[in-house]
Amino acid sequence: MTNDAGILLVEDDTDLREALAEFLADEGFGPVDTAANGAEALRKLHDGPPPGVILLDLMMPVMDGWAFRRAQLADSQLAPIPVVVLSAADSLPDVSASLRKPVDLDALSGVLRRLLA
Amino acid sequence: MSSLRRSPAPSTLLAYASDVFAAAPDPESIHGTIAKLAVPAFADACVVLRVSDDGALRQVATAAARADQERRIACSARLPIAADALVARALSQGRSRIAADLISRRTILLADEEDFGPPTPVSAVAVPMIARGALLGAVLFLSTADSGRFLGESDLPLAEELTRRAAVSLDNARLLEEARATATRLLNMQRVGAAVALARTPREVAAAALPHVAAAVNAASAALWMVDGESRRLDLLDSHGWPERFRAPGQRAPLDLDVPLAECARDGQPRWYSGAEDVSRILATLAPGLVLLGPQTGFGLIPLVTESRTVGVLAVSRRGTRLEEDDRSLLLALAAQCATALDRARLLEDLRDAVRLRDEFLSIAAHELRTPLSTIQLSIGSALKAHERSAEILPERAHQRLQRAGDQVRKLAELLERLLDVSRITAGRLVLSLEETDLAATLRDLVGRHEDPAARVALEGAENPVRGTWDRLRLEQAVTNLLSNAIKYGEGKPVHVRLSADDNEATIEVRDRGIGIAHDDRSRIFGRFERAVSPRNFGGFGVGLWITREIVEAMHGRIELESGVGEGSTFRIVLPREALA
Repeated sequence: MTNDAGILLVEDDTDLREALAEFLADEGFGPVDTAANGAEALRKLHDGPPPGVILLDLMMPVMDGWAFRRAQLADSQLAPIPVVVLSAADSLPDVSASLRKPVDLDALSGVLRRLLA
Repeated sequence: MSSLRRSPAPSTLLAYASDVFAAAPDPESIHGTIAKLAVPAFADACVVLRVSDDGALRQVATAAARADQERRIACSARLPIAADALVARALSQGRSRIAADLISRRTILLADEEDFGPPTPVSAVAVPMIARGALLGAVLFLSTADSGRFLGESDLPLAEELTRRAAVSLDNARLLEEARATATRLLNMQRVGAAVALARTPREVAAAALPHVAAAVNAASAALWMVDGESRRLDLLDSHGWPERFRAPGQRAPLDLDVPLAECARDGQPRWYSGAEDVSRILATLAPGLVLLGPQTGFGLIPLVTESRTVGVLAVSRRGTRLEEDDRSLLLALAAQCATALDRARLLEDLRDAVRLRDEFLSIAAHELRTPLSTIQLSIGSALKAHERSAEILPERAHQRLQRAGDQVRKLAELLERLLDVSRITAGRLVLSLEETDLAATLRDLVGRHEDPAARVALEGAENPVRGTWDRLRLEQAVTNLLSNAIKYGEGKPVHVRLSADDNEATIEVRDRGIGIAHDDRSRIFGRFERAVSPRNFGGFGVGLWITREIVEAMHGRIELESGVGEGSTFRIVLPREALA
């Protein structure tokens, strides 16, 4: 596992974001950065090194997951970063994986392991 | 005095009269027939008079042996009849009067003796027309000087019998007319009733009813307003016969406005207007600038009243004539029909709104509950995983409690998933992802996961692959629902799952030996939020079978049920091998 690239977790709910980040760190998925909405995520992507995977919630204030995904695909630097959608009901086309909330932790670990390998 | 009975014999005359009366059952023909039969058979002139609705006596038919006399009598038709005239006295006393010695014409009929001209009347008999106790009018028989005829006592039987038969015929004609009017009225009510029966919204009620209401009273226009739920304003639902630009829905008027329309809705009393001026003044208050084609002379505002309140107002206008008593009573009856239909349509609309709100609430609630549940599940899950990884960072009791909490959170998540399925299916968003699936392997896997100490699940017929194109996850969900029900209601007895297939169909049977389902409950249990048992004894939302059926039907399959109380239940899912989406 090459975990150096790490994960960018985009989720508006603070508790869920922290619990998820803790879990990912515990599982050894390398550095986990977080953002509370799409706009913050884009800023972090522009400022720092690209993560190995983006974990993306869809329903968020300020900039939602759909708008974030459009902006990401429009930027050739960011477009190749794999995206895993974590959402209550909806999903996005052409993403690496979609997981329903509440998230099945084994399924999430499996997907991340595959993408970060 | 009795050179009169020239021709024909009285009995022949009466028989003939009866025949003619029967053949001509309208009042005008009967009036004319009396006069024509009397002259010249036993009188030289005859005048038929009817009591009209306002109580006045009016000449309705005349006959005279000489044409000039008949013209004169006919001319006098418009003149008032003196109170002391022979016919007036016959009427007021309710019996025949004879004037054998004729003096002044005035005492016989009306005003001026000159009118009648020569030859002068010399005798007269006035017979009241009475049917079933009601005074219909009178018949005046006259003899004139030139004929040498005198009318007296001996002529009474024939005159009275002829008049009596005429009265009976007139009464029958009136009854027939009333029966016809009643039939027409019933027909109109039936038409309105049929028109509004299928209306699902208040606006549909108005659109369906108004043309029939207008036709029923021959009205030029009709319009319907509804009082809003909070009794604050009147909304125009639709109009018939109004210029197009006034017809547009959305016109509304505050209920406390000082105009007859709002007053009618407030006090629930009908209002009637007649005369072109009055009516055009009222019309202008209904909608600003409203003018209808041609002078409207009859107008009514009729409240739509149900048991508890006034739900709307009907406005009807008619060209040419005012709205009479029978029009008014018909309009009141039609308004009552519209009121019931309007009330029902509004309740239906409220109900639809309530169902929509419930579904929306369900969807929002399920979505909102997901995030906190995710966090709890995640926290418990990662604590348990950390415990497994670095072995026993948690004390044993804490570990057990956390595991229990984790199990409950998973159940909660499953329940939420069901609620979300309900709102997805209701919104038509159940999307299948079809793939090549081996049903035998799916069932083996599923039954393996249902190793419940409370009930043994036996699987038959799943040794060889049964392949087809289905949504594997949704199918698992459907079978899981049946399996959990079988275990839940199976009273701990073994549950059998059987798979069979031919070239076209695959059948999954889930059989239990438990409490069973009463016949009456069988179709109901597939409904949303339905269950055959008391929610006090068995939990759940009552959506499992509904979801199961929706999934199976989405794959063009069907679900069958055999059951009896105390005999257990067998649910059968029958699927085409290729589920064409």
